[in-house]
Amino acid sequence: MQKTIIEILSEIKKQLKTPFAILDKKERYVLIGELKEKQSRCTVNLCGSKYVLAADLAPEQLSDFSLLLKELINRKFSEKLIAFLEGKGNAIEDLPNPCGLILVKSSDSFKLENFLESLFEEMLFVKADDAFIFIIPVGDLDELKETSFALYQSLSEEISSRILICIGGLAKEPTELPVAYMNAVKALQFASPFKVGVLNYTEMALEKLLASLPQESRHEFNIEIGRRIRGLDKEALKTIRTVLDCNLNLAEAARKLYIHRNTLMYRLDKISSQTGLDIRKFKDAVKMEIFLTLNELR
Amino acid sequence: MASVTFKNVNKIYPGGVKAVIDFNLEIADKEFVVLVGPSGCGKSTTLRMVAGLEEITSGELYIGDRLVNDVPPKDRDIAMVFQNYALYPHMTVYENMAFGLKLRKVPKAEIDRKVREAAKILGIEELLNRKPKALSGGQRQRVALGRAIVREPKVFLMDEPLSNLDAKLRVQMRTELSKLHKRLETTFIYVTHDQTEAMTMGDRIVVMKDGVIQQVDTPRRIYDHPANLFVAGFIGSPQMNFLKGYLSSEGDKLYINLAQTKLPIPDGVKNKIDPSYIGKEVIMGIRPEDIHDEPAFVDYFPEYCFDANVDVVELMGSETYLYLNFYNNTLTARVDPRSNARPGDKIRIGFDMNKLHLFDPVTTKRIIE
Repeated sequence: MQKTIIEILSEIKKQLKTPFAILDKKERYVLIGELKEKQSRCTVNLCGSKYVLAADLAPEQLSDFSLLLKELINRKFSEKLIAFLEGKGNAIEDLPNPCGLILVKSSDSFKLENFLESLFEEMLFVKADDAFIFIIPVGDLDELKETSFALYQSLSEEISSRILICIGGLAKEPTELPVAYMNAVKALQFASPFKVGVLNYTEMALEKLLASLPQESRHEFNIEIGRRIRGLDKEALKTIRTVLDCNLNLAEAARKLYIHRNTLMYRLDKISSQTGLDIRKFKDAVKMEIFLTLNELR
Repeated sequence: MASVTFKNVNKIYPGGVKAVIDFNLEIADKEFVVLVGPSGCGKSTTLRMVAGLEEITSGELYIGDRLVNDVPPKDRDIAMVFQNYALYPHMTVYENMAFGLKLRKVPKAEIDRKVREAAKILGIEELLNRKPKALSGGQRQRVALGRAIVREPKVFLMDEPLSNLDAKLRVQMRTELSKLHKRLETTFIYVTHDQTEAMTMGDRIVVMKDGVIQQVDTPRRIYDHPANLFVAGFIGSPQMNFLKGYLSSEGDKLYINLAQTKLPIPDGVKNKIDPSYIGKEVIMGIRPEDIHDEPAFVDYFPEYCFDANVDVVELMGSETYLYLNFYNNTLTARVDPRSNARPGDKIRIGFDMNKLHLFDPVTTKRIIE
C-alpha cells in the first residue's frame, strides 16, 4: 500500500508550502523532502500504517501539521479506494494480500482510529456513506468470520450499542475486492434497520434468491402464507421460529423454549390444525422459513 | 464492585414489542444473581441493558449510586462474557486478554501483571503464547473470561457463557465460575435458560417470563416455595406434577379432592392455607420426589395413599422415574432405584402431604404460605 500512499503524498506535497519528509518504521525515507538538519519528527498513522513525519516545524506545529496531513491523505485515499471498490476508479494493487472485506455500520457516530490501532497492525478502514469499509489481512474465510465476530463484540463493548457487520468475503487478489465490497453492500441492504450482529453474504443464499424475485411473486406468497398464520399468537410464532432455528430438532427446540417435548408437540399440532402447515414436515418448514425470511428482509 | 439497581425498567422495541416490563430489582454488591427463563423471556435483553447494548425505554438503571441510562458501554465499568466467545484469530491468548487494557492506555507493566494474574486464576498460564486456533472450547471460554477479568470490572455480565460447551465441560466450568465469583468478590449477573445452572450457581435467582419477573429468591426458596404455577413448573426436573382438585372441610379437618380420591391435609399445612379457598377449585402441585412407593411410607401414612397404574419406568442409575396414570393424569415419581414397579403394574403410592403446593387456577398464584 506504500506505493499508493506515496503517490498521494507526492500530490499533496505539491500543494503544501511546508516542506516535509516521510520515513517508514525503520526510519528509511519513503518520501524525501528538503529539510534542515534540525527537523522535528513524530509518528503518524496513514491509512492504517505507521510512518514517521519529519518537518522544519516546532513540535507543537508539527503535531497540527501531522493531523492536517493525515486528514488529507486519508480523505484522498478513501476517495481512491471507494472509487476502485465501486468499479469507477483505478485499481489499487498494493493492498494487503490476501485480505477480507467487511462493512461495519453503527447507529451511533464514533471514532475508530485509536480502537483499531490497538487491534490490528495493518488494516485499512474508510468511511463510505453510512458504514465503514474494513480491509483486513486474513488467511481464509474462517479467520475473517472469527475476526468479524470478535470485532462485533469489542465494538459493542467499547464503542457503540448497535453494531451490524456485513462480511463481503475474501479477496485473494486486490482485483477481487470490488466483488467482496458489492457482496457486503448487498448484505447490508438485505438487513432490516434494527438488525445487529454479523451477517455473511456468502451464507445468505436464500435471502439473495428471495430478493431477486419479482415484487409481485413475493407479495403473492406473503399473502398466501400470511393469511394462514394470521390467527397465530406470539407464543405460536416464537415456537415456529425456535423449531426452525433448531433445524427441526424438536428435543432441542423444547429445551430452548423450556417446555416439555409433549407440550411442543401439542403446540405444533395446534399450529398445524390452525394453518394447515405442519413444520415437522420438510416442505411446510421450507414454506414457513421462506415466509419468515421474506418478512425479515428489508 | 458495585450494586445494580433496576427501577421500573421497561424495554419496548420499535413496533411495540414489549421485551421487559416494569423490571424492579436490587442486586447487592458481590452478589451472584442468575436471570433464568425460557427463550424470549427478556433475560438477555435485561443483561444487555445493564451492559449498555440496549437502550432503556423507560425507568432507571443504577450501577452503584450512578444512574447509567445514558452512559456508553465503555464507561460503565462492566465486562461482558458472551455466549459466542469470539477471539481475534491473529492475536495470541495474551494479546486477546490484553487488548481491552491496551485500548485504555494502561501501562505495559500493569497489563502484563493483570494478564498473568488472570491466567493464573483460570489455569491458562501455559496457553498465553498460543493462537485461538490451537485451543479447545473450554480453553477458549477461559480466555474469554480472562479478557473480562483483566479489566477488573465492577460487574461481570455473562450471557449463557457455557451453552456452547459439551455437557461434561459445562459441569466443570459451572463449578469453576462459582469458585471464580468467590475469589473475585465481584457482582455477577448471569443469564441462562438452564435451571441447573441457575440452581447451582446463583445466590439469588430471578425467574422471568414474557418480560416480567415471576419470582426473585434464593434457589432453595424458589424450589420449595414457588410463587406461581409457572415458577413451580419451570424450576425442577422432572417438573412438578399438577392436579386439579378442590378443597373441602369436615369438622376441623381439611381435604383436597382429586378425581375420585380425597386426601387429608396435615394440620401444619392447613394453617398456612388461605381459608377463603375452602370449597373452591385449586391446582395441587407435588414434586416427583414427594411421591412415594416405599412400603414404609405406605404403611405409615395410609391416609395419603392411593392406587395408580405404572405406564413407564425409567431407570436413571441413582434413581428411578415412574410415569404413573392416575385417573387420566400423568404423574412423575422419583423413587428409589430398588423399586419393584414394572410397566403395567397397579401400585400403591402416596403423596408427602407436608410438601404440598397449592395454586389459584385463575391467578396461578401460590395460595399456601
